[in-house]
Amino acid sequence: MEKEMTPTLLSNSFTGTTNSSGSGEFKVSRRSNQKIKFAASLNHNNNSDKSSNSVPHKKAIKVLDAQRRDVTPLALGPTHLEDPQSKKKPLSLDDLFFNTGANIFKSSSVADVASSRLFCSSFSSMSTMESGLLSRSCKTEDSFPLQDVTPPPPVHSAVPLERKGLPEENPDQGFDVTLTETDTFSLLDISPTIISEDAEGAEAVKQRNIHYAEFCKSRMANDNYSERSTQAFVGEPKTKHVQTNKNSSVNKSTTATSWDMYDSLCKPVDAGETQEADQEDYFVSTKKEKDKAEGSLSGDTGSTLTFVVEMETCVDSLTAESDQDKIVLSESFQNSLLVMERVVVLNIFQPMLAAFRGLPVLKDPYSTEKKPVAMEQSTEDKDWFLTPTLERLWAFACPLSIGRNITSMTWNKRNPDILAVGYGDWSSGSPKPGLVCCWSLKNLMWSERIFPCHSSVTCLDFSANNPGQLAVGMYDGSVAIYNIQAKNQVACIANSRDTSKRHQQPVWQVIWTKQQLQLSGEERDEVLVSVSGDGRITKWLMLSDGFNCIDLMVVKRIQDRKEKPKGNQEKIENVLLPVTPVLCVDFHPTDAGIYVIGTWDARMHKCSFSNSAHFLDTYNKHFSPVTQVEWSRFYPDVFLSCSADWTIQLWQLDTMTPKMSFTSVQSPVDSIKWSPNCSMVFAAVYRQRMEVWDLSSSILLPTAVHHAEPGVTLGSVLLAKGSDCVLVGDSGGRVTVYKLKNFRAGKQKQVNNLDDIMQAVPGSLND
Amino acid sequence: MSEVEEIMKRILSHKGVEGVIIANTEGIILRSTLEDQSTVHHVALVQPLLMKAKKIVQDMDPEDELTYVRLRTEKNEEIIAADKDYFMISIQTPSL
Repeated sequence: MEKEMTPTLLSNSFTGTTNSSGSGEFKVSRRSNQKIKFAASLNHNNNSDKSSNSVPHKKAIKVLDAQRRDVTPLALGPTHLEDPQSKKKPLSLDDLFFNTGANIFKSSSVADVASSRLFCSSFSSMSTMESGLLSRSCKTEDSFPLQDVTPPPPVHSAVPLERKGLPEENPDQGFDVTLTETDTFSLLDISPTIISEDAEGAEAVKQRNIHYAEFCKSRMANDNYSERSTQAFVGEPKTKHVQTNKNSSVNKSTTATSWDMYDSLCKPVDAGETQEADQEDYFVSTKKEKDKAEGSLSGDTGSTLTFVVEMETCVDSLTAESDQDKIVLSESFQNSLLVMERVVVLNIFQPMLAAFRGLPVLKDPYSTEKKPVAMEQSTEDKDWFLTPTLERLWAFACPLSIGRNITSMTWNKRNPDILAVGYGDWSSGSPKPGLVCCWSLKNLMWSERIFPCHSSVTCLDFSANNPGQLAVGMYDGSVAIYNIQAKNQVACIANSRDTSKRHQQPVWQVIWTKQQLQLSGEERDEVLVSVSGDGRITKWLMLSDGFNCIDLMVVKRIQDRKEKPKGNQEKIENVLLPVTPVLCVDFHPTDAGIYVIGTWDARMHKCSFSNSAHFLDTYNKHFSPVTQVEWSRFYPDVFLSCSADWTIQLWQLDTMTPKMSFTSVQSPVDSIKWSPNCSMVFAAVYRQRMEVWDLSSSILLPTAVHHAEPGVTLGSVLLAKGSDCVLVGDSGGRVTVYKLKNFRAGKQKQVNNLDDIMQAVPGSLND
Repeated sequence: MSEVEEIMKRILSHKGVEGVIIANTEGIILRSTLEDQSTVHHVALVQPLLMKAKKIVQDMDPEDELTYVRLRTEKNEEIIAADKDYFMISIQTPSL
């Protein structure tokens, strides 16, 4: 009997019907060649006693091929777990396809099971439990191996489906089943309804089409056909619920700013390292880090982000205590403090400084006081009738300097805001240690550099080539160079205390000058020249073995004039010719080889670098020691001298007698200074007063006079470049700054007037 | 350390200076001459301002850095020196 084996691979509705065929899409064509005895009784429960737990109502079929190999096809549905170990357990087709028995799968390889499992799941309503069964069964051991069906030999034979009664044979023996290979199952075969016109049956098809078309037309009236409608059953939809874990969502956002990107570019490694360090060491830091990790990604509000930024910026900080020390000792903190102090001071002194610099002073709109506004730009006509006066602006004074006598002041050559002041006092006989203070205009209340000196300071000068170098001359004859950029101890870079050829007498003036080198006239090397009470004019050099000096000249007393003895020193050293102390020196502004010195002899000599034996010229006019000589910056041949004989003389270079002479009070003139702004103005300091002479307004009287406070003597005067101010140093340690008000000096049209004035005066002056 | 103390004393001695506060970036107060409550108040208010100012400067030019902020009001002036690790506030009543 031939049984059409139509495996039903469709849906549940076909459960149990093995013979029903589908919609014609399933075809099983037989091409099998293998004779396999197929003993099955679809309605029998074979070996029910043998098969221990197979489903009793199901049929068990076992298939063996000609070589007695078991080629039982795998059940397409899950089978029961509990299985007999028997190799020859018969299985029904139903078992094969629809059972839940698992014995078949027990022995199969995973791959086979997998493929069959797919089939199973597609046509049986498999619950997950069943699939679990399947999977479980996969892992069970093989009990009997299933072999693939070998390619059948090309022998066609029908499959004899022998229905034998089971009880006849020994179940152990089994049946002979002849199996043939089934034909290819076509699961879907839809033949095309379109054929080409060139095909064979095209004519017939065309004819049929035509017939059909005609038939359709005639259908309406034809009695053979009637319309009827049917209703198709629509299956009831069934809802199925599935439960999964909810996908939780988290909002994440970040703000990209340009600095953030720059920071990440520049410091990626640091952040990582510090993170680790923090984690290791500090409790507090771990908390910060956590905040950072959380916060840096989510930027909810602006404030949160700023907080996070702040956290990030302090990743480096350790604990509060070490913070404090670290911060306070750091250089930037000290810088901040410095600037803070300056700012605070500038706030206080703002109007004064504005007046100093010639800026219009703004009146504070919230001020409750009434302040007179200083008029800086006064027109000529307006002030013609106002007297020139000095207005006090402020005083440089700090607790360290109060009480010390000021001996010298000088501006820095490069930074006009820096003022060096030298303090020294030797009037009491034993010279006290001196002090050098460098003040800045930005901080009027505290000197930014304070250098104590071992001896009273007599003179100062800043270098022009190295603006940080300040040369200091002292009362005991030593010359020192300080570097004001450094603080405290390292500032003194040279000191002539231990030099063998140092001065024995007080150094009365130090001056930096550009010396023209012999070889190439263009190089301007700067040398320090000092003059002192031992009559020597020496040039100081920083050589490899230290600070050393070369004598330019030794000024000796000139014999043709009777002079009083200079001091004890001359008498002791009988071998040497008597020398006269040189009190001042100034170099020619353009011709660096020429300089003029003023001596204790009341004489002034013009000397030159190249000639160390003789003076070039001698100017005789004074009869007291010449205290200061200064060349005019505007007229290269004009210089001014002042002396203790109460006079100030104006000289021209090659004229042996002074052009002009100024006298006002009967007091020794300690110092004079030309104004750097105007060619006609100079200031002179007497013991008790300070005078400002404006030659364009008067050549007989000083234009402005300032009296010192009682008890205070004025020691030094200085005029500020670019500003109409005069600085006066007194014995109380204060440098007072006065503004020259209502001076008409400095106007452009009066530039040539000095020459005019000089020529206007009668040629020779009498003593 | 003593220098720092000296300078601070000097600053305080100037005319019109009401107080000086030094704090680190987190807002922990290191030194202050005002009383605690007003110090904390000041620091808490100034800190976000400084952060914002730093961001402004950095945003405009990443290589730039904020150094000082001066806040001039009717009654006084607050000068804030800002740095990476700390900031310092001086409160001064101008003498003008």
